[in-house]
Amino acid sequence: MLARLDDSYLTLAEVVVTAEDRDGGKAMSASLSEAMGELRFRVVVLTGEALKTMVVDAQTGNVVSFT
Amino acid sequence: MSGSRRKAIVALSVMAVFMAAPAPAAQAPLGSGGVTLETSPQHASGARITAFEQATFTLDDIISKVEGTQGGLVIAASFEIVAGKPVYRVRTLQSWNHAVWDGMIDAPASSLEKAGRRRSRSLMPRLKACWPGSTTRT
Repeated sequence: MLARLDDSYLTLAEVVVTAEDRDGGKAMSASLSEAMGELRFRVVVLTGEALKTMVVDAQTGNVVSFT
Repeated sequence: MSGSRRKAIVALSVMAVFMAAPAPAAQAPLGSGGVTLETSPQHASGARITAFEQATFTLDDIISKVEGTQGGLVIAASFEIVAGKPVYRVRTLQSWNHAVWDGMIDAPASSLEKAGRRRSRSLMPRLKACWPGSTTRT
């Protein structure tokens, strides 16, 4: 995972800012994890009274899901 | 054995169990005993959200501060209520020695509340299993 982390397209801070800008919310938590061989960022954003989770592929920077 | 003696033994046994049980930790360390950084919306209580809305510093502020002062790369950060106090719990990965550093930041003051703990690389597999979002914990 360490080697793959060096290849990551983004940092956690960048993903947090992106998630906040996307929905005008405020990030409550964020993490980087490896699941099924893929490195992904996950950010939980508080928007109004709703909590949304954005998942971003660390290698490509693509948003995998935003629910 | 008489009934009263048996009751006394049972009572003493119960007392011994309670006395031997560890007190609930005010703050459990990250990645141990199933305690992880909480990144799921399901973990957010009303009190936690209310406290978070009042927090002066943002998650981005905290990540920048920790990376600037501790070095390494923040791989997880979460706003939480620990022992009734709002804090940011942060985990960094230090690439130069492959160590994981866990720390806790006082949310209102943005000051380091608890000195971080370093873990050796040999603990990485166990830590990985505790990382939020991993396949073992969702």
